[in-house]
Amino acid sequence: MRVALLAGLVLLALVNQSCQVFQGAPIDPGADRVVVFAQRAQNQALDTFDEFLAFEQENRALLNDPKVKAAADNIRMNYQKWDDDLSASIKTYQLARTQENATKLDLTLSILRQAVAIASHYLVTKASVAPNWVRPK
Amino acid sequence: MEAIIVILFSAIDHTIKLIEKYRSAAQQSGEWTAEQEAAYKARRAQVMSQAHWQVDPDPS
Repeated sequence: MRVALLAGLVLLALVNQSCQVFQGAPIDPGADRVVVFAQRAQNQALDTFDEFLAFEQENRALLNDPKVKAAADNIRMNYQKWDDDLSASIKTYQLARTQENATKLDLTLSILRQAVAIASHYLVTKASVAPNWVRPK
Repeated sequence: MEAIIVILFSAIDHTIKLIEKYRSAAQQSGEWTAEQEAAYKARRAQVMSQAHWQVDPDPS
């Protein structure tokens, strides 16, 4: 009973924290939200992938799941291109802020976001495989 | 029961870590300056140079 109450409190805190995070900082006057959101996504993707790839490599034997390794290797092989493509799309959009360029930027961003969703999914759901894993500093 | 609690808290811990990382990125309020972009690229290069970013050859 006490544990369930504690878990409930932790989940409530988590929901509260999530709401604050996904709101994000207000966008500066004059700044373009399309660009700011894309650049935020670049930072988030790098951090998420770094955490996931460390987790996957250190727990590969325990995970014993070719799908997880395939997802991780896909990121290892393609992330730099995805990120470079996104940077190029941002630059193109900054030079000509048209709807067409915004759409192209959004398409490039969606590739990165899909990979982030997969990495986050594995990172959270596969935590059961190595619940005591702590990333070395 | 104990195992379920450990797994639950582990999943929560991973989620919190992800949220903390998102929070840091979500503080950005303006478009990057040239210096900020260069700093991001340098950080990316440093992160990607770690061993867990290299593809291990398939042992089979």
